[in-house]
Amino acid sequence: MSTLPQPVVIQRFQVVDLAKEFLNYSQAEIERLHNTEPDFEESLYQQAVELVLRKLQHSTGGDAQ
Amino acid sequence: VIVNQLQAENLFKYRTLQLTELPTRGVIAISGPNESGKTAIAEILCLALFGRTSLLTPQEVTKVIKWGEFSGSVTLRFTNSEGNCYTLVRHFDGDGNQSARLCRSGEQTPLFLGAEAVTQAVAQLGGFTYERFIDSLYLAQRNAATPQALQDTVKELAGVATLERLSAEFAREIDAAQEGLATLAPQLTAVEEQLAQLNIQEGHLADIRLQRQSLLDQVAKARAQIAQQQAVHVTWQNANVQVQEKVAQLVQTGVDTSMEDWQSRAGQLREALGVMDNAARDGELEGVSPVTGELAAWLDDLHTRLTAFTQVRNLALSYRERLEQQLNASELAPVPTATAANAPRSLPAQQAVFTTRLNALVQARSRTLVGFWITLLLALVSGGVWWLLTFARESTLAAWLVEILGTEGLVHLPLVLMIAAGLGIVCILFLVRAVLLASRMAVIRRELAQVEAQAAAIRTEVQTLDALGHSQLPTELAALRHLQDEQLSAAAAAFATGPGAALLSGEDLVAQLAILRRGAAACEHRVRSHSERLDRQLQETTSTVEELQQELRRREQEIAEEENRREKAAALHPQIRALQDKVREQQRRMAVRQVARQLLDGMHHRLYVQFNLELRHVVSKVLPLLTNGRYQILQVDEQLQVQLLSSEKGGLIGVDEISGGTYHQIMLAIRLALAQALISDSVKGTQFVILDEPFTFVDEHRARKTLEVLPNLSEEIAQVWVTASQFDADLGFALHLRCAGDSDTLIAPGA
Repeated sequence: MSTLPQPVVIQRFQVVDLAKEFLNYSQAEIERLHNTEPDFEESLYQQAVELVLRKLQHSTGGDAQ
Repeated sequence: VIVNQLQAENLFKYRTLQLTELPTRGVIAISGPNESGKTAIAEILCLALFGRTSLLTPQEVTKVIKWGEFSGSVTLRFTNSEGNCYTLVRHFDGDGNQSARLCRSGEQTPLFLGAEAVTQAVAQLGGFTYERFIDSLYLAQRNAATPQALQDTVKELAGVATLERLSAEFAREIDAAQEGLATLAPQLTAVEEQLAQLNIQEGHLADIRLQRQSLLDQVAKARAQIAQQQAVHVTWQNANVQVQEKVAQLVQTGVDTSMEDWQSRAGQLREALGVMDNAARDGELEGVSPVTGELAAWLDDLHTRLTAFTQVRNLALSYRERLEQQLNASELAPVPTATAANAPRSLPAQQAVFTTRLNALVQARSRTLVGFWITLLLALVSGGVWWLLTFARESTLAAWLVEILGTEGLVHLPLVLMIAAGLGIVCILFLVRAVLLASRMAVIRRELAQVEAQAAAIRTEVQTLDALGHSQLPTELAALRHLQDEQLSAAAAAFATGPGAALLSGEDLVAQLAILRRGAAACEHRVRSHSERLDRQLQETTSTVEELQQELRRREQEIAEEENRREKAAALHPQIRALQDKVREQQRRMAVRQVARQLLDGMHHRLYVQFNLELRHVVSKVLPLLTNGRYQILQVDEQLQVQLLSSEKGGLIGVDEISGGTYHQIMLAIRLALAQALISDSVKGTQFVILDEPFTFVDEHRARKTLEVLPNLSEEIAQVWVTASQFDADLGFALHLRCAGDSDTLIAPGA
């Protein structure tokens, strides 16, 4: 058993890129709200998205340290 | 992280534990009977990394020291995902003290000192914390709980925990913002109430400024009116004094006043009345005309009389011109011609003619007298000669004549007589002529005297006319009436009896002046009345000005107060704006974070679904190998509720429907998947895992299948520590450590 005679069982465990996933989700949500709510304030949502992304980046940077 | 070396002294049951040159890939099997120290090795590894074990709380760490000893230590050498090798040393004593240091392998200088600092350094270098290590990399049989017990780690690995932390952070920030709003709201309300109390009304300041300007205009107008009224009053009074003075001068006139004095005094009174009229007009005084009207009428009447006398004077002037023409010397020059002899001539011309004629007659008479005396002498001589020679020839003289004449001359004595007679006749003729000439001369002298007398009379009249300009009116009229011009005389007489009667008659003049006095008195009375009215108007206007000024002062005060209020309001507006900006900022901050929380909440399910899909995918790869293909995970929900697809039952079943061994296999598969997830998420390199007694409830066959799978699990899960009471000898572990129950020393074969 010191060698690997067979291919590995687990090729990968795809961990989500949280910031990217959040950006995709939020943009889709913004698009949906944009289409459904006439009084939708997009700038408020974009500001919220930027805030979350900034926090996530800070959190990831902190983890990296 | 791959463990390269693990050494311990006086920890758990081991006095000495030396595991060196550990294989970096493959299964490190640890076998031995119960209480032989298998789990202690795993716990020592955990203790080295985090200063605590999975079985003891940090406060119980003194229990790791071998019974009967006062201190213990552990040394761990490991390689992280970046290929750096580190040496970690921890010391523990019986008082609960712990020291630690971390340095690069081969170096003495520690990178980190202190238990806490080293623990944090391990988390950073390794990519996992104690909690993640316990949930994902250290599968102890006694910790094999339900999948839900791994919820926190799943949350971490799925990213949900991060989102929840952010959401919680936003919630705290929202609370802080709300507290800020709660602080700002009363401040804003207080400032707004201050502003409301100031009661600033738009346009009010402009209105009262307009009112002030209007009042200023009214005051200026009233003051101008006062100045005008005062000027009119002064002018009015002065004019009245002048009028009264002029009237007094006129009253002092008498019948002997000259025409020039009348005109001069009347003109001065007229001028004074004009000043008064102008002052009255400037002062807009009503009923002024009656004041000056009587005097003006009197002056008009006087003017009519003076005009009538002026006409007389004009006639006098005309008459004087005619007299002047008669005396004009320029007409002396031309000698009257035969045709112009009968034309009217001026007196000097007539005098010249008469003088010329008289001179001619004087010369003619002189010549005639000379002829007379010559012829008379000759006649006497010739007559004497004749007489001597005729009647006194014996006389001497006759003798003498005879001698001269000779005797022959005596013959001509009759001729001498005739000559004497002829000369006598001529002499008489001369005498007659002389008498005639003297007669004519006397006539001319009389005519000349008449002309000269006429000229003298004319000069006297001219002198009289010239002297009349400053004469008393009666004297002038008398002189005019006695001039030689009938028309002038008649006009003077008509004036004296007509328009001039009132000026020439003492009684009439007194009556006229009485009218003048009454008019002056009435005028003065009305002037006084008007002056009193002017005074009242002036007082009223002055009073109006004072009222306007009081109103103006009130407006000024009101403006000052309004400006003061506006200054205060102007000072409050920035405060309100600043507070409103802060409120908006806080509200915006809250809104942004609320939206962020909404988005984060919305992400939960998405992340769970994605993570569970991946988890299901990975577990589905592993579990069939562990269960010999009998089970596949098909569903893992957000609560990590697991449902299995049973090939035997042909459908989904819950974990409560399966055996304990299968359940542990499922948990092992999940933990291995989580280990892989942790590695992918944080470690990002090769990693060891610990499986402490994973096969307690598993049959030998499945245990063997599991042990065969473990080395090939993944590229990253390279070093697998597995403990069990015993292993089959033919499984080909990378390292097999055999623990003895009666020994407190374990030294790895490689050492």
